[in-house]
Amino acid sequence: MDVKQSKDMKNIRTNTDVDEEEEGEEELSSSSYLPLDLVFSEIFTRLPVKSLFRFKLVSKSMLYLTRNDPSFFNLHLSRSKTRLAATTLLISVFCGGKWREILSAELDGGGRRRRGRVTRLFTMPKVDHTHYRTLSYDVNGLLCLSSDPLFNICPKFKVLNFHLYNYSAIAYDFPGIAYRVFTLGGSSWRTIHPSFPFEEICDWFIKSGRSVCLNGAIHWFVKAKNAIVAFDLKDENFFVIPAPNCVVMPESKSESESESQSESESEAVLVQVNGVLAVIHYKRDGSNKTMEMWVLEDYQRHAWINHVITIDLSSNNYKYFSPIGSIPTGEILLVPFTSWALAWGVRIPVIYYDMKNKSCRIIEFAQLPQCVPWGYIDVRGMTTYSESLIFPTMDDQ
Amino acid sequence: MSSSLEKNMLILRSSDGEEFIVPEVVAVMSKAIKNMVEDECASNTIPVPNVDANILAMVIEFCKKHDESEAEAASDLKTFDSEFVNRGQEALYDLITAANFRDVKELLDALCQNVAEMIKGKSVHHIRIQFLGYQLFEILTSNFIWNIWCDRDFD
Repeated sequence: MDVKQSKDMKNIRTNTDVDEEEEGEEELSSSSYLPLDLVFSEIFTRLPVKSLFRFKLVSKSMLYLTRNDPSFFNLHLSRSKTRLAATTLLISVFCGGKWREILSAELDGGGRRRRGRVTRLFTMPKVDHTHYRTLSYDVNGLLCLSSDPLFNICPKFKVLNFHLYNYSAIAYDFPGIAYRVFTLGGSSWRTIHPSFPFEEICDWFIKSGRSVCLNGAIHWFVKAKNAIVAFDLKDENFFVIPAPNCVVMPESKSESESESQSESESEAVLVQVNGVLAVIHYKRDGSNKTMEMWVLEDYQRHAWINHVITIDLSSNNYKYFSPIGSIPTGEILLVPFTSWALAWGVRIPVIYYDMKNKSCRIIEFAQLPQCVPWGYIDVRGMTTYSESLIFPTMDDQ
Repeated sequence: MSSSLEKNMLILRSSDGEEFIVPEVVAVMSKAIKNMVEDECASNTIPVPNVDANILAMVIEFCKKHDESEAEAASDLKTFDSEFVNRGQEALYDLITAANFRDVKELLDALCQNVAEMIKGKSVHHIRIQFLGYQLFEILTSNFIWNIWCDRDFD
């Protein structure tokens, strides 16, 4: 016992000795340790957010890193955008016509299997009898949920975050629209007066679908004008990017049918593909197997490049899909239309289209969590989500 | 490969004096060497200090594979990468230091991702030992002292 205790005393001494030195300084001499800056910038930036939050306790510098180091946040974000494991598919499900659940699914489907698992993230809070309908695209790990389709909310590209908001068009039939901006981390809405590029404003906000936030601007595709309207978050003003002259996809049948019908069924969405804007034209009814994709390769000079997506599925069950953007592997995700998800019950098929090989595969997301009632689900929006450390109340600097 | 043999060859000399003859296209995968070549300050032999022959051979193997299979299927490369980075900690750290120092991006990516995968489920203690130079005995003793503190008789 005596020996043990004396040993113990020795250890206490060495222990305090080490503690007095700056932690992590002395290992540079040893060959089996990496330099700390390399560990932080190269290894910790590749960790999942969950691990990083656990490692907060490792040292004070780690705590600082995970709490308020924007450069670390940005590096981590840029790495998680290229990592498939850091990206999930978020599914907003309307359960039994009553409440809303946000589910998440692993994009790799857990290996090579064709079945993917879905887990529950959270139940949407219900505020003032409004259900949050729209699920925005993920911007730097932040999502927006809004109840009104007229809300076009989108956080800013970098640290500052703005909301663009438009409250009048249909409900009050105002001639103009009021725009308000909200900076995340701030406390109130600020009214702004940007000059608007088009006369008839009311329509396009509604018809344009989800906005895409990229290069510090929010973009909407205005089909009627065949243009992309963008809102620059720095200048707080609108500008227009001319869209490509899309030829409506070649289809032999359309001539025999009434033209107006085929017009209404052709759809165009604005998505983000590998970090650039892309407009994808397709037929809503899935009668045409090809989709036409235009990629904005040069943002400044408005240079569009055309690709053709051919989706040849052996099974006829899968017809009604709409693209939602690309994932870190470079594949484009296509998810079922909201209204059609019902027919397939509790399975949510997702198409992965590989642009290089021009091939596609399907992963069916089944095994929904317990919170989703059997048999009746209504999928109301899906988006890919890459995790990040950025949080909404973050300071600007 | 015959075409690449005809191209310019460079000689890399490791810290312990061993020399490697490497095609230029492979050598310039290291940004540091690429800059040297572009600035024409590399006459014929390029010294690679801080990197010993063993590690340099591994780095060259990686670069060669990546250069050859640029056009090949990505899945092949992936399996090669995962096998390549499957090493002991010592070699892994030496490789990371070398890749960082010589600025070989693909190698650094593959290695660091591997380390991240290894540590992502580890405990805080593990991270302290592995990266911050905490010694194992500190943690053992801190538990040990705690145990003694709890077990001792208060009289």
